Amino acid sequence: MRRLTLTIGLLALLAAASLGFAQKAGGTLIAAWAQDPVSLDPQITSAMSSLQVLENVLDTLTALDAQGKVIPSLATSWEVSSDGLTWTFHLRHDVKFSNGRPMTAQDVVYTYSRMLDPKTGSGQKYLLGSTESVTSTDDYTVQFHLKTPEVALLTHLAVNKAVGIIAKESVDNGTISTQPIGTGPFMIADYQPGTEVVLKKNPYYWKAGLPLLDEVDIKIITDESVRQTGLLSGDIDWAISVPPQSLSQLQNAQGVVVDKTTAGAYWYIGVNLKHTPLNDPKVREAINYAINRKNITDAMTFGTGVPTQDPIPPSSAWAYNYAPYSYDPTKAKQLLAEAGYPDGFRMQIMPTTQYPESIRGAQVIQQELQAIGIRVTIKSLEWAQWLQEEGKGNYDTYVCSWNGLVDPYDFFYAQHHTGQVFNFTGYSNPAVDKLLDEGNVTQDFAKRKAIYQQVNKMIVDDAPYIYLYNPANIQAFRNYVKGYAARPDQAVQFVNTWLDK
Amino acid sequence: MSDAAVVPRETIEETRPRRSLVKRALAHPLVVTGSIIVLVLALVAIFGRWLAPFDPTAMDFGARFAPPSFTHPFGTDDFGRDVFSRVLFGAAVSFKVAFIAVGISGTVGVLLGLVSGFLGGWIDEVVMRFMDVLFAFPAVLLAITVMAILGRGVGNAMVAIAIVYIPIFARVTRGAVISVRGREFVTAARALGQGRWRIMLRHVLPNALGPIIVQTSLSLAFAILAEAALSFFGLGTQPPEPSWGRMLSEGRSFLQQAPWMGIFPGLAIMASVLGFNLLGDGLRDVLDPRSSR
Amino acid sequence: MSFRYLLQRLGTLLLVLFGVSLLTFAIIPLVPGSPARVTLGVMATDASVAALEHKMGLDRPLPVQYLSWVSGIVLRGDFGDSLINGKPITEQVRQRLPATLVLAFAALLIGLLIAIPSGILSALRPGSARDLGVSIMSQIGVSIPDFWLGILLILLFAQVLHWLPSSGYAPLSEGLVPYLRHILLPAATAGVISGSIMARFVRSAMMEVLGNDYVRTARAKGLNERVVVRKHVLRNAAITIVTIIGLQMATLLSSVVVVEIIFAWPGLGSMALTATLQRDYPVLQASVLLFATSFAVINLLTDLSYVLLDPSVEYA
Repeated sequence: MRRLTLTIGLLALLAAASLGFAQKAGGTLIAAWAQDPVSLDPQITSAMSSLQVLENVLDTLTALDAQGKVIPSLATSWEVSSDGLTWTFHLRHDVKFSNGRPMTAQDVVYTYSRMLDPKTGSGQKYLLGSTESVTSTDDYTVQFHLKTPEVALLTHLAVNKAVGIIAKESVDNGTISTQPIGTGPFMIADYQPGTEVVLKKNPYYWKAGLPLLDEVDIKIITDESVRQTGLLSGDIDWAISVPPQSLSQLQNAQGVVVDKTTAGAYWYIGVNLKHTPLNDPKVREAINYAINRKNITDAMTFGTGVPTQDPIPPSSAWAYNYAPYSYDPTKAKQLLAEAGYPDGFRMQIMPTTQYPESIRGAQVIQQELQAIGIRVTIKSLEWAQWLQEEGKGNYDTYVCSWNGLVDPYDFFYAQHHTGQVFNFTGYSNPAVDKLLDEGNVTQDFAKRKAIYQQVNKMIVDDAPYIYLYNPANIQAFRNYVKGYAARPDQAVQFVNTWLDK
Repeated sequence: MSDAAVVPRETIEETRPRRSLVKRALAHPLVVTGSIIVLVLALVAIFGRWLAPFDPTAMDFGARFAPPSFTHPFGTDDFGRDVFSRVLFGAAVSFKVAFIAVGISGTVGVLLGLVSGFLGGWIDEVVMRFMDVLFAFPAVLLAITVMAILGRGVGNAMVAIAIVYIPIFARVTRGAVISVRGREFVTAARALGQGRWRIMLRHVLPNALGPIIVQTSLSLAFAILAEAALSFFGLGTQPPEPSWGRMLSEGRSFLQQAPWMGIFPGLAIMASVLGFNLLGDGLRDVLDPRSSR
Repeated sequence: MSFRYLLQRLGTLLLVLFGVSLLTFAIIPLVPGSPARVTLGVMATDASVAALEHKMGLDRPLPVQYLSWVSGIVLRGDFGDSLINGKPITEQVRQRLPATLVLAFAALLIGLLIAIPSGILSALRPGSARDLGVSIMSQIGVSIPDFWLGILLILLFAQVLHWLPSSGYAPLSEGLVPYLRHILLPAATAGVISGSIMARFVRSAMMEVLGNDYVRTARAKGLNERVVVRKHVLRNAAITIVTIIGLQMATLLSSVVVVEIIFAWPGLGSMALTATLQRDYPVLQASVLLFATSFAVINLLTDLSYVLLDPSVEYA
């Protein structure tokens, strides 16, 4: 049995390091969100805007540090059985929910049993992988029972607050989607849909002396220029994202700090492999050569994204940076001719009004493919309809992104493994499946990395996804906001944040 | 109105003398101004593709956000596309949507109003209550909901706009029909044993035409606005088709860097709406001089 | 006015509202996409969508859904809960309705401040340069798209001059000044347009009265022009102007929907748009029903006031 532990001492040391200068407790942070949370039930919502609120309200068994490494949180230590089928987590004894009730193993069991229950309809269930049940052996020990080994489970129990521990009370009294109760640094005091979410300090928070802020007022400001002017005038202290086209203006502004980091995310063109002629690898290769990723990235992100041909951002420890293609319309045209389409063909591309950048990207792609004879029709849909068409496979190609990815598993498994729920392209490659299964049971970092590099290469070559760029996570705040840093996993954590004013 | 002063017109001749109407219309400043604006824009809509100096979808990443200049009189957008060419092409989209939408809603609305006003009774009651229901929806919400059902696209935008304006045409027509249905020439036609449809189409409709023509011109103004609004909210035409409304909504993100992206399409919308409004108001003065507006 | 007429009008009103409620329900199966998918997003699987739709009650037959919805409203004044965020809709309406009403009244006020002086001034000197100026301005005002005017105002007053916030809402609890600063641009956007329409009505109402015999007599008696206008013309034109205000409220409300969306104003209009995009049917139905009710009620009141103010109008 392999035992992974990180001592409380080390944790204290980390805390002390961050407490190293004169911090001021108290005050209210006015934070601007770009989108209204879509339900605050962590197990139901998939909206980044909801999960970013919950980031400050719930805790997970394990957590990720800024580099994406797994660290203890509600669980102080954990071990996995030698067959990889049973994970045991040892919980802290001093944790209370924000309503004052102590948290025990029963709450962990409740949380994950609810998630596994098909009646809940959780879309996030995939994070638990092959977990069949979660049980407690005593008040502070829980066990996950898996059908097949799953290395990524440890990361997934920390990857975002969809897997956060919730109090049964808020489900029973029906407030789970507006006021879920958790053990995090803040609790939801008020939620006015479309307007604001008010977070108040959790008096029972288990990390001594934290949080520093009394309150966080999350204002929902959908108009990017309004967030920008609010930040410049000091009406808001912190903004979740800023319009990339005015990045330089904000960077030059007095009193504003722009924090930019490459996100664990990628934008891509999804190709329907069930439609001719897109099922021909040569045709997909031609598209890969025909698109100018720099122009697309410029049009979509105004230069803040990093053009890429594979999914994992260069900043990640798992990065491979495989780039076999170049912008070469002549070669693309020749590949099309070899595939039997010297005069091109007609196809549709499906962006969504939910993400205006996808429509901008689609227009550039349309122009570039037209140059090699592929006549592209843009069919942009509103989100509700887009999701339905993507889910049913009613598309030729679409433009979208995956976000909040940490483990290499996140970049490939659910999207490309045969028959997986998010495999909307219909991609199926036994060699890739075998490697993905292997990657999921391999503990050793170097071996695992080698496996995912092979997967990476095969996916880029087979091109069910045509990768475009890794976006940046850009947040901006007034210079008196301290103890905050933008994270690659796009988590927004105010636990250590304080106001120097 | 000197011609009407001698004998009540309708006792002798049921339709108004046309020539004097045209003459009066051409002398009316609103009609003239409105017609000129509409005519110029209609020419742009028809011949815009040959007047445009650039392909409206051609991108030039070296010339993004270029301010208005001799080469690009209205500047360029975030893809380096020529805004002037896009505005010229946009006229065709706006006019096509507006004319077809008003054509549909006019036909349906006029028929409903005609039947409802002429026949009266329970038919009138049912039709007009249904019109009341449609009319009770806020126009924007109704159009957005219809677009949500039908999906984005030029054709669907026409249908959505048409549905919004059907009740207005129905009401206007019904009002005009009621005011003529009791007149002598209708009674005479009835006495001669003419069929209902024949009476409606041959005798009632031509005499109720004035308010309908006025409403058509005003509705064209509204339809241009409505198409722009739908596209502005991301529900109208599909990119890259240059629609004025969508150009506005795209330009909105770049107001500070490139105000021209939002200003010129907006001016184009305003000019067309103004043209049809002036024409409609002028025609009302000419065709329906007693109505106080 | 007869009591029977009033009853008949109220009956029609209820009938229309019933029709509106039926229609909003009938469109549900026609709209592609479901609130369950919107909530679950890209993480949706067919099984989770089905489970969530079951929880939302969307798998019940439509007539059953309709009856439970209508009985909730009629019996308990309860619009149900939002499917997306689970909040009671009645509570959201209570917060958003005042915002919409305040915006509408502020816009109406601005509209009247534009319409009455300019309408009177141009009616007093018909054909003058002043009259022409007012009429050109009002034609332009009527033709300007509300969403474009909103953008231009934001560009000028918020982004270039930095005088006013570009959008959003400040509750009165944050003080009167922020409150007024936030309402000014959206109210002006809707107000300028409706003011332009009203100016023309005010002008023609004034012209009609000015042409009357008693005005001519008053003038002939050598009365001061100011006195004539105040004592005779304004008082008589007021009837028409009140009616116009009523008619304008209905037009204004649909303009307010657009303005709310542009300025992120937390009223019923922006709520309805969000609900449409998220397929949050009960919220959409509630807002449509509320808008339709206010339309119908305003129309009724206008008609009634017309009858009351001008006895010569027949009401059979």
